[in-house]
Amino acid sequence: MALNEIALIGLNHKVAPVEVRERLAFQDEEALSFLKGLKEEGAVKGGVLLSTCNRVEFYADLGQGGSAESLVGTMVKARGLAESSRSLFYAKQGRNLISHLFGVAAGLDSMVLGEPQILGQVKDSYFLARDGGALTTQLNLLFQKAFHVAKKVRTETGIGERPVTISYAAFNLARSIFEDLATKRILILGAGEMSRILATHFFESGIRQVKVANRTRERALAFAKTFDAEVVPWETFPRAMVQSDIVISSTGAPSCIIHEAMMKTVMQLRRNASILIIDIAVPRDVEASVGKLDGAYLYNVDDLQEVADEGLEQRKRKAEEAEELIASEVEVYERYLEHQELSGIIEGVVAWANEIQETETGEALRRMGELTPKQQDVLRKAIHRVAHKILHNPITQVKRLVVEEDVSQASDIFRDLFRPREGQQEDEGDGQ
Amino acid sequence: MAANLTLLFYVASMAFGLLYGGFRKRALFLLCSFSMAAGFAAQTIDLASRWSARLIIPATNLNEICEATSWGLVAIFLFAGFLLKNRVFVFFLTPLVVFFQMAARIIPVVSKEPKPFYFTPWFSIHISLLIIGIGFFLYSFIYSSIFIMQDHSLRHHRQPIALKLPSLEESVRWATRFLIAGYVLYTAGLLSSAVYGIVHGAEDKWHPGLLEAASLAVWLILGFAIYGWATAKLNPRTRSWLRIAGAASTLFIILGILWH
Repeated sequence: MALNEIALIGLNHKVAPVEVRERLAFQDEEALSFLKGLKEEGAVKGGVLLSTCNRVEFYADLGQGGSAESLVGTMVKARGLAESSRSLFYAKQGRNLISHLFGVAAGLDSMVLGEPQILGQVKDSYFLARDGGALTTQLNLLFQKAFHVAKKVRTETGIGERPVTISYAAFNLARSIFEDLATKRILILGAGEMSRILATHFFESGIRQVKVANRTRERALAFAKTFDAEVVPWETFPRAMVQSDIVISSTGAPSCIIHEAMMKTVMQLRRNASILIIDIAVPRDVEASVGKLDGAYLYNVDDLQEVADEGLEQRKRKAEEAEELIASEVEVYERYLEHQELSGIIEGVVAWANEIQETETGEALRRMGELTPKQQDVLRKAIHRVAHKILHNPITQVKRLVVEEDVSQASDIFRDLFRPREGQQEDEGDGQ
Repeated sequence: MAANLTLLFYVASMAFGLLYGGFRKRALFLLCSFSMAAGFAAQTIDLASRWSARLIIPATNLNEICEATSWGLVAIFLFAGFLLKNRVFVFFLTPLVVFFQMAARIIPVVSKEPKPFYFTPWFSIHISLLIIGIGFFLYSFIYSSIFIMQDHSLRHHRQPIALKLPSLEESVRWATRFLIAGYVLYTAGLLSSAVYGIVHGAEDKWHPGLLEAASLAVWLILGFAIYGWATAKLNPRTRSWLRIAGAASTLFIILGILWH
């Protein structure tokens, strides 16, 4: 099971601008036909094509004699990229490739460090290759291990626990206050872009009861369409606050629109139920003193940014732990492959010895004329014992060298010593 | 023997509970639960053997009350703990159990002449209801403390992530449920004693002291917390502080046993 038959070529947000990435990006169907085409040409035995907005990577099983360099050329040509873009591609093999894939699956190579979506995208690519018949045994093993490592990184380092974006920070805060977000009601004040980003995050997490109020009713209606929201007349938004659990405010008002006195009344009418107010407007929409009221949790854009920055710092620290974990997992995987390879070699040598034993026993029996079944059995067993006694010590020693002393070349030497190259056996036979 | 095993298992459950708070591994929670179940079995055998030997429920002095309180806490965990979605409460519960176990061993035993009331079924009913009631109050205390911690973090814009505590809503819900369950049992426990006094004409033997004052104070404070919840006249933070104060005051009931 030679790992050097697997190669990776690709580019990501760190090395290529979006203009190149978007031209290289593959839709599922395009990816499948690309994979099938390469397989039919014999350029690869199989492959997994990972295409996201931040990266396009091709993990190819080249078989024996394939070249990663030629794949870059094929890909550049297939996507109509300029020849100069070849220099943007990276190519990896062996340990570097394993380490890279494990890091990608764990979100360490993502634009937002530690983000979890990438694992789903890697899995989608894997399933696409599997369903399209482009997954080889080696790639299957490699990707299965990558999924396992990614999961381990997330659970053991907790890299994804802290939010690193403003919208995720707001969402996390809401989860700290409310038990079931899907049953909560959200009020959006101001139908601007920032409101839209935050509302999208909450909407995607299952909140369906959305109300929107905007000074310009037309903009509110357009906003409401996206989120299937109810439009509230601007003048009545304080009343809507009474029935809302989360308020996102992002108006262009020159001064505060939510005052302490107003909020006191709202809290009384809410029977002191908790409310999360996210004020992302500049200048601020909500008086700072509102945050001092019991049950009103007020966060402005700076507070959220601070939460996100803290999260990023923590993720950087966790990423270092994750790198160490990945390094040790790469070693484990390499050793596993070596053992797999050794098992295959030993099985091959034993099969080869059995084959010789059968042939030679048959020949001896033929020459010896008529023997009783008992005599035939004695002869068969004697030859079998000789063959296996000869092999016993070398097998034990090669296992010890590979498993205990980590001498990976030992398995190749063992194979060369005991397994004749193609044609050699026939030559020996002819000579007899 | 059974008493030492009890302590050993409860200390083990505390170790697993504290580790669970930090690492959140299911295996640690299970180990914590199994240790508590094993400790509970050993403790129940111990209490039952003492009860059958003396014919008095083993809860007549301060040491025994501490012991019984730890039993009540674990009993609630074993019978209702699976309902709680967020299991981090074991981080708070297990040290409390060990605290009462240790207190039962450290506090010097004061031998007192058993009163005739101790030999009646009323006393067993009275003590059992109160112990389980106080156990529920201590659960309410844990969830109220979690609420205060979360609320403090959120108000001061600190990330409330360290222990991945339950949400404010969940903390309030469970703190209130435990309070109400405890309040019903506690009130019934107090009434059982009063009913005994009336039935047996023992009203003249009733002396107000620390035990009685603390019992009434707990009943009033926690009753006010329930009133604040039912009418929504008190905000969740004030209600949490009341629950904490009420549950903490049960300590005076326990101490009152010493001078009773």
